Amino acid sequence: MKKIHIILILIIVIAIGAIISTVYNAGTYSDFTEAAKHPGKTFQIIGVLNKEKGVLFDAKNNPDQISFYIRDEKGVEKKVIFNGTKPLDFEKSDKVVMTGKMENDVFVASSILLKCPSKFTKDKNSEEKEFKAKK
Amino acid sequence: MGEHLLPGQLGHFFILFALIAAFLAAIVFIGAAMKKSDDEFSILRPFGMILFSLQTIMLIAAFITLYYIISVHYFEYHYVWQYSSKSLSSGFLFSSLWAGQEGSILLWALFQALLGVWLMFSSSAKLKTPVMAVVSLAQVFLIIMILGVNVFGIHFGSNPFILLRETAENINNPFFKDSFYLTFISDGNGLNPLLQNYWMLWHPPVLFLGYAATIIPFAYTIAGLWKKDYFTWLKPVIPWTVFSLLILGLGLLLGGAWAYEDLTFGGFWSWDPVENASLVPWLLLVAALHFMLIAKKRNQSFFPALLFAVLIYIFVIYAGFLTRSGILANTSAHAFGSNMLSKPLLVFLVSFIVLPLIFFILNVRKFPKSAQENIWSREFWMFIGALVLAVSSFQIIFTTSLPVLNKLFGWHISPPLDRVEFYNNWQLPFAVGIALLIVIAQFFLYGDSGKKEQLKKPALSFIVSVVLLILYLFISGHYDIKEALLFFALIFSVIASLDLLFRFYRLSGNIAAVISHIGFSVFILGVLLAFAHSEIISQNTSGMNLGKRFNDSENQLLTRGQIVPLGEKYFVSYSKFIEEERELKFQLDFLTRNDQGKYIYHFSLFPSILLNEQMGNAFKPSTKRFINKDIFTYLTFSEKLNNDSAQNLRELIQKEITVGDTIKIPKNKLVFDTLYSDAANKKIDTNNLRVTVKIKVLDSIGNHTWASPVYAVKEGKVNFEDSYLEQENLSFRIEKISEKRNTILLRVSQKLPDMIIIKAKIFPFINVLWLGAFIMMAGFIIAIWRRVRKIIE
Repeated sequence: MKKIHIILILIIVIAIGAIISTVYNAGTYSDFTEAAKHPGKTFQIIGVLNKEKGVLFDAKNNPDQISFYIRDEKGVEKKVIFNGTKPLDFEKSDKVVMTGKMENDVFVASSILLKCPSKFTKDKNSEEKEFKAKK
Repeated sequence: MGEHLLPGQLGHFFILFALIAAFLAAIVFIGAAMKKSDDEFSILRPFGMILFSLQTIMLIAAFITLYYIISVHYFEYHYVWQYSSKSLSSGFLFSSLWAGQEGSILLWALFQALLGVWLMFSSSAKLKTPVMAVVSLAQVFLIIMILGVNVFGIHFGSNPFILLRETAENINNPFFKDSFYLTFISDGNGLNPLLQNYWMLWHPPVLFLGYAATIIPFAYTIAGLWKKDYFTWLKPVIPWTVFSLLILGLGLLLGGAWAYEDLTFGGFWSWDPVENASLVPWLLLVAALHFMLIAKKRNQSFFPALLFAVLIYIFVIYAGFLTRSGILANTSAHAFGSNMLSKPLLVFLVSFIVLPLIFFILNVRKFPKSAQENIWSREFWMFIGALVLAVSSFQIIFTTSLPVLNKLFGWHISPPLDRVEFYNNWQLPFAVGIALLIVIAQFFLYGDSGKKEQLKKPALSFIVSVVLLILYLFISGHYDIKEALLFFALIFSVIASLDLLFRFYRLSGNIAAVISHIGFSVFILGVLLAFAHSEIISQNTSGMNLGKRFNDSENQLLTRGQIVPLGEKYFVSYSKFIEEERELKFQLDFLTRNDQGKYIYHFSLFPSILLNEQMGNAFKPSTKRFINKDIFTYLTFSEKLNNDSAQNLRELIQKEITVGDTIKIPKNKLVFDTLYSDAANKKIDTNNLRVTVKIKVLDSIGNHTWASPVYAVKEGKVNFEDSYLEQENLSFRIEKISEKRNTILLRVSQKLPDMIIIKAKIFPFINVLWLGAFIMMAGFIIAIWRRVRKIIE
């Protein structure tokens, strides 16, 4: 056996290791019901902000926390706490992708990613709306 | 209808003509390459060259047409309306050209065509026709994407010259049936404010030039396999590979510089899927370059050299697919949204995987067998280094591709929860390995270099590096084994390479390579110093103890005019609010306090909010640069954007009161003294009315002042003339005149202090990063220059 074969085998082992670790470290896209069954375990949940209930942010008392209500893809609504300031244009967001854990019926998010229809490319619907407004 | 249809028709024609010319050029070049008598006297060659040139001219014409309709603001065109507006300065009108998918593909095709023309005249006669056949074929795939055809009801690609009313979402919109619809469209959507940045003007075109250049190794590989000539292609392709490395690297750096300057993610690189997708071709370029050098110098490793040269372009197309198909929507902050380009890109990708695969299969038994490798040789360690890079790219692309795998196999796996940490942990050992391999490979010679002797040479550098490591640990106080290892490997590779440049000049033989290697290690060193040890100096000073769970206490509230400590050294004061047309700036003064307790002013930073109604507002950071560190600040919250509280008022009370009433508010007593109306004696005209009231404001010791708000109606329009008392910080407004006599609805509010929330970070020694990048690019330029000079001679 050539040395190069040993090295190639080693490299394949590392590559397989990369795959396994990715899958192992990965979360799963889930919903509130699933997260509630495993409190303390981290999940990624995609949902929509309940705009009527608004976003609670008391900048004076604690600029490091906001809370709001998210309806997940299954239609379940839960209160979410996020440690951070209110993201810009939060109310305009289309979809919210959150990472976090369920604790006492509250989802504690460690990160949130907003999908704003208007942020990078225009959503078709909002385009149409704008035309109507201009007319 | 007032539409300007001619430029659009011309644009459509140019693209269609370019496609036909590219297609014919491909056929002619393929035909020529297949003929036995494929030489300079073949009649097909000039014919193909003319077609390819025509195609290039058509693309240039299409590009100019697109710029024209943008610059004269023809908003009847979808692309113009979507990505530009009248207020854009001419530099950013260029940005509009490639802000959209169609424009950026056009740019890519144009760059690739121009490089193709260069190849057409410079490539070695032997491989010219197959090389040009492959480039022409790639052109066909790119141009099809911007032709935008409808095949059996399926949209395939998207044309930059379609009219706004022709787009799928507007085709049935009655708005466009109005023959004067254009008069209602006064301005375009505008360019995303985040993209209106100097770096962003250069980042996309440079990146696309880098992408376009990767067709050259791909084309040469196919040509080599086609002609069963594994050697000739290496000489011309190596400088081109370095060229792509330089340009793509520059593109990535500009993107990083932009992210650092304009985005509040707080960094240069965040392992975002979109960033990863463009990093992978660069890493593969480095790997391919090393395999090519081994093949050229030692007549071995032909197979990996050919394989990796092909992989680069495949991953460039794949990067295009990842970023443009919308498949990353849930994982990337960049998400460019789904588009009609995903299908043609997929066809492009599959075709350009199958094509080389066929050629590899046809050649599989013909690759020259390599001799038994010698461990004490440079090529062996270069080979290992290239393999490490390959594994590193694999780890990046595999993790980044999770959304694709989810779609393919119906999985629901989300990317690693802590993305940055996950990638850093994986890539750190690779970086250590690469840094050490740089030293080993450079100190060995090609062939057999006598083991022991060569190993002694970097001994001095080793000792110096150990001393520096100890110093580093001592000064920084970061006793992290992984970081220490990386620091040592990098510093060792820098010092050993410098040693090589000065003491063992004869050993290296290739200054450009040594300089590039130094640049690489210095760059990664900069990343380690600046980002592993970045320090957040803002603090949540609200005094709320939130427990361990909420340790993210990095947001600092600043009230205008107040001075608060920031970090160990500075005090900061939000001193001024500057309102510009498209930017709200907040002046932060950085001060220090001397022994007498006096504040000394040092500098100001201006974190801001970029305003854009259509695209959404964006926070923009502001950075103070020092030689040894950057102070990076950005807003995380401001009330200035909430229209309701534009005045920043907090309501204290809203109550219906009649003359003579007394009401109490927290600090004062209010007595409704008098009400008079200029309509009192005349007939009451509810459309023209002016009511003034006088309110006596008493404080706790009995001193009093007067407030006199006015409620005015002029031609039916209500105008509130509020009365504001500076001393008491009270604002009075008559909300309504009651139907009851001498009664009003009074609202008393308090002006809130102007406040913002910021985050502040220190990035130590970030200039090391820029220095490294500069050295690395310089190394590439020297390498290209040397090889081109050799070829010319």
